[in-house]
Amino acid sequence: MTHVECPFCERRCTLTELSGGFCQTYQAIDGAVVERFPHRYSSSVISHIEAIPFYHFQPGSRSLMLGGAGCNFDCHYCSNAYVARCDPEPLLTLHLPPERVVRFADQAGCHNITFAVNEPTVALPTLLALSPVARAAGLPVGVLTNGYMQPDVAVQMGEAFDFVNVSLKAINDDFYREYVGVPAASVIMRNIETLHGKTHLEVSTPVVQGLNDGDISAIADFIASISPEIPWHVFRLLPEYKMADYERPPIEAINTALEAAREKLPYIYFGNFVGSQWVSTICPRCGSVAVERINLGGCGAKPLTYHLNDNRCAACDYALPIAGEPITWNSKEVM
Amino acid sequence: MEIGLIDVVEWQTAVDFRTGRPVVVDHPRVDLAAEVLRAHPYPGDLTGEGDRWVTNTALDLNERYAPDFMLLTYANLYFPAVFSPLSEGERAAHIVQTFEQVERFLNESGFVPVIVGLGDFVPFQGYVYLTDLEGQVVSGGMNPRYAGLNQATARDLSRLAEREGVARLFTRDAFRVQFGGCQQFYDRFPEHLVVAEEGYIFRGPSSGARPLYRVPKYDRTLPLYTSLGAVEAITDVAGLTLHALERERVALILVEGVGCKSFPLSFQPISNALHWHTYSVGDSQYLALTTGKHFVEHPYPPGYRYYVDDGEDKPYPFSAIFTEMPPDTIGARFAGRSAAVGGRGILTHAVAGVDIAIECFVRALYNHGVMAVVLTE
Repeated sequence: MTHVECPFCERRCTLTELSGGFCQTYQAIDGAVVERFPHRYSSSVISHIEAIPFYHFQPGSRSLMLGGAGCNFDCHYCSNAYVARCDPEPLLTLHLPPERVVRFADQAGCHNITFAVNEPTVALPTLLALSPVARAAGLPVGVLTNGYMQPDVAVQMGEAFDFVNVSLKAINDDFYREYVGVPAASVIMRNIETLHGKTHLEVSTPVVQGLNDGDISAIADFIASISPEIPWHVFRLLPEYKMADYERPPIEAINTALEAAREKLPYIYFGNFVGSQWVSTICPRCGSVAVERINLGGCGAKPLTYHLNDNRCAACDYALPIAGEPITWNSKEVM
Repeated sequence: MEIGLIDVVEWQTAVDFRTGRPVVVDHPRVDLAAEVLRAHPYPGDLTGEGDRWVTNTALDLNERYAPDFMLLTYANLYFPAVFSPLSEGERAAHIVQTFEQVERFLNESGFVPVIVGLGDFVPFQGYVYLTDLEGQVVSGGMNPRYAGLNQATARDLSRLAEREGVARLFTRDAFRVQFGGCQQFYDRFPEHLVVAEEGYIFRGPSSGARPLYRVPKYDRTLPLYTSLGAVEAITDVAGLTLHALERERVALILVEGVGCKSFPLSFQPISNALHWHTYSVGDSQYLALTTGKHFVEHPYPPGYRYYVDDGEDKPYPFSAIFTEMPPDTIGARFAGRSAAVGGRGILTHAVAGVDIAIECFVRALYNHGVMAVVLTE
């Protein structure tokens, strides 16, 4: 039986014909690594791009959000453990070749396609096949990722995907070791640096009080050192799975820490709780609301109004780092 | 004005419920609701404690506000049955626990009850895949047994005619001839409506990932427990309740996940059907119960492209598909004090039309907290 090292994530699992590695989505056949469930998805829903969340890419757009199954992490607080930490096969009931995904997106009036819910690295060949077909149809493709891929895979992602949100869960290795099950944060930080400049990049961090809230300032420093224009989504974590009994983090305390961080990183959003008042884009020069959003539950938001002229602040003309002008929700409706 | 008061545990905020924007509000009814929310964090849909939360919260609200009409929705028999491999024995035990909570509420509050079980379950039989169709498919929701189909090709229609799990296929006109109804309903109605056989669920471009274990039975009758008189159909419950409210304090109690086969109290069977259509848990069933009007008289048909309404300017952003608060609900028609508490998010406040509606804020089983919708005028 041949043994092959998986080339996708930094776990570098040894694959055989019988062993699918940690994520269970790849195997080795005749010495080659093969995706076990190509073009298969667990879910497909229509969403505001801000709900996923992407706040600075095609604001207002309608996204076809796809989900798969399996993950290369074992986050103890995972809110999607039913798809991430499971046998992927019975969940992957939607067989959608790229052309069909694109047709769905078009028929539903979507402006782009996003792979979220679980980790894209565990279905990379499928997504790399989808991207050119979607791009040819005028549909940018984006992903949410935990960033734990090998360096050349990060390059591939940066080239294949038009928008990427990387979850940087902490900047201390202890957190990653104890609560995520991988040895180091440095891999994710390296890949964030790789992705920046290759694609539209946003970063997310779930805050668990007492575990990684002390990293807020250091994470802001790290992101700002790459570019202060990178949007950073900070989530008030609602722990589930192995940490379901863990307390919800205090909003005021976290926001106080974020206020200081906003001095160096102006596009910090604080959400994942209903009614959050920190999900709008504030002009860093004049303090006006440039994009007004509301949180309806979940890690993202819904846009309400734009105070922009050519993506410049309508009040002071400051250029805001937003890729693409606001898109009207029903602009592709033809029926 | 309608105020939305959101509590996510140790943090509250108030919004203009129609626009979703934050507001500062000073109103005794809002203050009262804030205290109730703070005292009763929601335990979650799958913990088995949600129905106890309904009773605790309802008793507290009754104590503080003293309404004459209350709507309660008990939903914790629904979620574990649909989304977990619960045995029938476990389900029977859950039913006992839920009705203990219903009984506790009635014993301690003194309301005259109107209790409706919203239907039984059948084992999940399988998915009906619509991903191969060339037309546009809409099959949203947690367990869609209807799918809308637009721009269908002849091949689509012939495929559906032979597909296992498909019970019926209608054109919009054929449906309208049989069911009638309001113009708004048909303005949104899909060109074709596909109906699944009992036990089957459609799977298409807008489908979730959670595995299913049971799905709602196509119950033609529902159990109704009340001493207020005999009625025939689901659409008679609102009238019965309003009539009784002229002389008594009445609680309309909707219990999801129990039907005539599993309802533990003596009951009268009432029709849960219109022609071949049977109601199951969702906006149309709740609206039929609280407005007295069948689903074809409301602007939310099955299989419609719900997402088209979800633009930046959609009113009531916390109310999912609802673009207005239904005007003909019991709460909206009753002049006295009214309140609601529900383990069924969104539907509780939308169909109650009451002065103060408190519900869990859960979306796709994620527990975000609790919300009150408070009328200040």
